[in-house]
Amino acid sequence: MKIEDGLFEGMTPVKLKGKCADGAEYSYQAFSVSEVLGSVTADSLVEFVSGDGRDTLVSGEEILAGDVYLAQDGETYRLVIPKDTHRRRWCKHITEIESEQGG
Amino acid sequence: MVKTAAGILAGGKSSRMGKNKASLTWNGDTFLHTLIDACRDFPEIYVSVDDREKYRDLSCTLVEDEEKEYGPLEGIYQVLKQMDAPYAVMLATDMPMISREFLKALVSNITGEEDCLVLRREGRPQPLCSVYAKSILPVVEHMRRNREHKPGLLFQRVNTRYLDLEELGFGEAVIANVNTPEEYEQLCFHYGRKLQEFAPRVREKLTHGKVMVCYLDGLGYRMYKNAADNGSVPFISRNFSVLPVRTVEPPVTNPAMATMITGELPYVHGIHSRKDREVLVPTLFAGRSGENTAFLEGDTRILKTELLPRLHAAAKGKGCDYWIYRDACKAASEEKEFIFAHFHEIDDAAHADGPFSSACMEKLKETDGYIEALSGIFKGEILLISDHGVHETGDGGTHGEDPCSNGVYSYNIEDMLAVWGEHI
Repeated sequence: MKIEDGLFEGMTPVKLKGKCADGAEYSYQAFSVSEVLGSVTADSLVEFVSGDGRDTLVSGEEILAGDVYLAQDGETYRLVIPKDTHRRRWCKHITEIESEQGG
Repeated sequence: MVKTAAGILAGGKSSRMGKNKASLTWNGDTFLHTLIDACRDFPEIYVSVDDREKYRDLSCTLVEDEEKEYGPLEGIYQVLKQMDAPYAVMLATDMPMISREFLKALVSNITGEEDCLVLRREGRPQPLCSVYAKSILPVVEHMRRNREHKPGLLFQRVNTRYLDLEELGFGEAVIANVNTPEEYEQLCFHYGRKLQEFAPRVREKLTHGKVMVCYLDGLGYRMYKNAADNGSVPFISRNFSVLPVRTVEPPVTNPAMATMITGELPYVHGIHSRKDREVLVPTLFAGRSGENTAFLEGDTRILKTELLPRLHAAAKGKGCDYWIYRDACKAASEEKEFIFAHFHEIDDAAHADGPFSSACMEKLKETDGYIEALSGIFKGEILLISDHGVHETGDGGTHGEDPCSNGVYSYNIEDMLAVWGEHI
């Protein structure tokens, strides 16, 4: 699934606000990935392809738990996982989302 | 040249080190074996020990202390008594940097006139890296009877000539010695194995057979020693020789991983921080394909490499390392030539709970089990490597984020010393 204009049509963004482990505060307009993907299952694995190469994989069960977001970050979107307070998986410039069944 | 023997003094108590210094590792071998190798040009090599039983596998001639608790002069005495040569160079076992060239230069200064040829560093005598004549035996016997143990007293009583290290044309490093774990770490930091030596090692191993690299993110040398001492890594500590390895600055994953897989330093590979991903030089994955190689990563692609890694995420109640392990087993059974498995959870535990926490030790135990299982399946050589260490903070651990200003290291030494393990 390509991240492009129109993908989020009809969806209501949520306001994400919080503080990271290093004290940095964040505030984003974001969409729940589970809503964006629609048909994700607990067994699946979802890869977020990043324009800068920092691709990130998240399990379907974590996405279904509802705390994984695509957040607007300037002109592009980034992954935001609030419980990941060190921002290790918050990859930027997401261009595509690929879902596959886990092994 | 005057015929000279070599005497290695390995009978000390190593009390400040807390373990026998002779068995400390240095570039893939022990201190003692490293020194024996440096002495291989001498016609006679003696090793002075406190207990023969501990060294029964050694091929050199062993001499044992008769006077216990008498100090190094006892070892010198026993070697002089046993040897045939008129002179012997006596060396403490805790100086792994001593080289053949240095010893050759030292003994070439023996004129045959002196009783002792004593090396000095900055004006200070180095009695445990000096030359003694067999003819001084009566003087040493007299000292033993009077329980006089200071080599300085001996030097006053015999014909002693002093030789400054600078005259030999060697720097201080050649006789660097260690007495404490901290000094050992410093020696490793300054003169030991470097992370940039790993990729050439892997390339060389790959020319001979299959290789699996188990990359244990965040496993510092001090953390590993702690785990080995408390029994958390029974398989690794029994089956691998694990050495400290100096990582790059800053000691964080991206630059260190890039050095690990390229053999180059950051100014060459272009990865200077956690934000950089574009590697400027070929990596271990250049020219490789999924047909012959399995590159197994955690949940994030860290660097842009020629071969894309397979990513793994925590799922079904298992952490991502479990899924990496599963895929490594699969790749081993498919007989891939090169498997590179990047395990992440030791680092995660060290950040969350601290590098010496029980959670971290548990994670090491789990990883030790993975490596034991992989060793049973993989028909090739397994190399262990890590990228950096982690030091304790008040609420967990961190690394590479707090440059020190002590004038010695740019970063905390616990962060700078990673590990490199090879199968024994």
